[in-house]
Amino acid sequence: MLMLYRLFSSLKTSVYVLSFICVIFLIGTIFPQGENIEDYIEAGGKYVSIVRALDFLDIFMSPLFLFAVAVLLVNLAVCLYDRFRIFLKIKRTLIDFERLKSHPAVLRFRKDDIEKRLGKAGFSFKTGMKDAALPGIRIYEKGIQYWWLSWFYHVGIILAISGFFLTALFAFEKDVLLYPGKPETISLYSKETRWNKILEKAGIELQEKRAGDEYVLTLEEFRTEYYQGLKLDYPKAKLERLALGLGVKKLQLSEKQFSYMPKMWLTRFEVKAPDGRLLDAELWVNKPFRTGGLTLYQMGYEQKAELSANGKLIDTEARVPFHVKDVKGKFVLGTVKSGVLFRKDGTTEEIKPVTTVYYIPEEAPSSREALGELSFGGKINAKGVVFKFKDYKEGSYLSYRKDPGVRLVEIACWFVFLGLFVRSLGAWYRVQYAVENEVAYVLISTRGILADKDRIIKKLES
Amino acid sequence: MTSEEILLREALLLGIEIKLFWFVALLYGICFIVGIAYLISSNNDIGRKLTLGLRITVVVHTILILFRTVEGMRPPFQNLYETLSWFAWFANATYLYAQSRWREVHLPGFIISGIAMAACLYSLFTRSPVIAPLPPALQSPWYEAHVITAFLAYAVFVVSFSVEVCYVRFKTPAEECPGIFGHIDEDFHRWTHRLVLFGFPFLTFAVFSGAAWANDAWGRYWSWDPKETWSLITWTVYAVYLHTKAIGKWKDTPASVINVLGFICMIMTFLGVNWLVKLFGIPSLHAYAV
Ligand code: HEM
Repeated sequence: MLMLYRLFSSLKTSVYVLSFICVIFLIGTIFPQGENIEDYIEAGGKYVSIVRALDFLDIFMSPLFLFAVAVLLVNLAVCLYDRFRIFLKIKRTLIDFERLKSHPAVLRFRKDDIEKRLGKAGFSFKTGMKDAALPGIRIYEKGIQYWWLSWFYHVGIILAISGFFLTALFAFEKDVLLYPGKPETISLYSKETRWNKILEKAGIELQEKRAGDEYVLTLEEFRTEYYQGLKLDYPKAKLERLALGLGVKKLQLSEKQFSYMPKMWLTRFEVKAPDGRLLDAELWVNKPFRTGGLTLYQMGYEQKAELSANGKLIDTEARVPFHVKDVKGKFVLGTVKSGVLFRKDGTTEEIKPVTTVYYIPEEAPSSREALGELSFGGKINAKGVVFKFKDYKEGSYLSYRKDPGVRLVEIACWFVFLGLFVRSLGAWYRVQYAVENEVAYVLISTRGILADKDRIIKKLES
Repeated sequence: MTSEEILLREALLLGIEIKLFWFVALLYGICFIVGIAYLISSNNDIGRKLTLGLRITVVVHTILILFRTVEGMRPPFQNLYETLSWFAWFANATYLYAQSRWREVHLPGFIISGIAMAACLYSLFTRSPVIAPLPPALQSPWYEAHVITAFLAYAVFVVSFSVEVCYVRFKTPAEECPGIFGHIDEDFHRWTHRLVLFGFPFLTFAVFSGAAWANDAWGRYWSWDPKETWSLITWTVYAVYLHTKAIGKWKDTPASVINVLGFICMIMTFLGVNWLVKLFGIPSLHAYAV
């Protein structure tokens, strides 16, 4: 037992465990995570038996990884317990006077007010020794005790790992596509969490749905905004770029001068909460909407368009190929550009919805031939087909998530970061000091990047 | 001014800036060549010229960064083109600050100039210089905090790495000092630890702010994609380094080896693992975005 305690409270063990975890991380970057073993074999993947046995395709949930993290947690916990006991009754061991006097870094001052000066510089007395035969040694310190900072951010690491596990067990994520006038119902309950799957495996039957967890979402507006982005004839070839640098070639604006750069995708919608309350919601990328335990995110959008091709109506979707009767090959619409353009001069302009029609030849399904731009209400004639752009609808593509681990991880990360920051950059000083024959012997030790030993020496000297 | 005039002015300023950036890359290149001469000759006069060269370069580089700040009316930390330049600048400035304490040690400047030149050329050859407004996914205060702290940490680690390499390769016993290439001794070596200790909280914040940004942007703070995992590997390796520094027997050569390993991991975070995947014959069903 004692041996185990020693093993787990040792810093060396932490080095081995962390190194082992690094190797697992590395495996996780080499093998495609979340893939199916059959697909892996089909794609010609090697080392199949070991990949299967050690779960390399889902390594961050594999028994091997969970075991390594569990060992790290025990290592941390024992180490923290061990240090806690030591820190609580920390005894500053006093150096013996002869050793202090002959220490290579000891400083000598002919001053009799060193203690007053230390007090003025913010030092406080910690411990001292009076020995009849030898001059007494006194210890003064200044700054936050770094060992406690170290201790606290290691606690933070335990909390962060626990939060990660809460997420892994209980979080779920789904998506929803909202079109105008078509309310969608989503639920804060999912049978698909890891925890629920474990319960199901253990033979516990779960409900499909849970009343009181359902929200109804109705789209009110989806809007795209664009900036004007500078468009250059900037060469791709390295030598041509070098020529620009040497001034041999001149940098030119491209013919189009600017491109449409997405500025914002915004969704406004109404939320009916499980208790019947109606909420006005608005979100965009990087600004999710939160209510109760639910968070909704802007992921993207979908566009449905109604065209007529040689007089026949076609319902299609941007970027999804479609056929026109009696015509070989396929066609596809590019993204419909619509919304507001924010011009460089500060003005705005409503963009007339426009898309590009492409042709996909039968013999080269991966190539695209641009046939021309088709604006809303307009028409083009290409490949023997007259296309008219009749109507279009935009749907907002949202994802929603419930994650009970995220708060804990967040708090833990602040803990770790602030602890580390103050520990590394802050300043901590210890002065050991004794006087003999009117000479003060002073030994200064420091921790932290900002600790400035010379400043303290000046204060004692001046 | 009309939008067209503004666009023309932007193109004009960009033309000037690109020339200045090439000039900075050239200056780093010259420093690198002086560094090679120093390495071959062991002549401290050449070493002093190397340090002087890096000092001149940091001034010109500062002008470049200020120019782009005025041009874009924002600090230039928003894409890889800009951050690589800022990374090179910060590595050089940190090195020069540390170097001012070592007086006659000039050798790490050789590595710093090589890495700074490589960063500038990578940026010039592979990235677009256009000062573009941020796309929606990048419009988050977390994003800027993430990029600034990550590159700040990387720059500091690069300096630590170059000091480590010089120490391991050229350390001389104290009694033989000043030794080859100046006085490379334990005190000089202590800087590697100080530098990593300085960079580590920033790297921690970089990983944390990246996760916080992902959490706001698409709700999942961690997805174990290769880039994320590599940043975690780098972070863990530097934590291991700091631990070995606290273990009496391991704080010399083993710690030096881990510091160098940390640098390699940092480069891997940049360049990805596609080549490793090919090496092992593993089908990369997920593409690795650089
Ligand atoms: C993810 C895991 C860990 C991380 C990221 C981490 C991080 C760090 C860092 C950055 C330091 C150096 C800063 C300082 O000197 O205060 C440190 C020091 C230390 N760590 Fe850890 N640590 C981890 C796990 C552990 C474990 C499992 C133990 C248990 C043995 C441990 C024990 C210590 C001790 C005792 C120190 C103090 C060394 C000193 O004061 O000089 N750490 N840790």
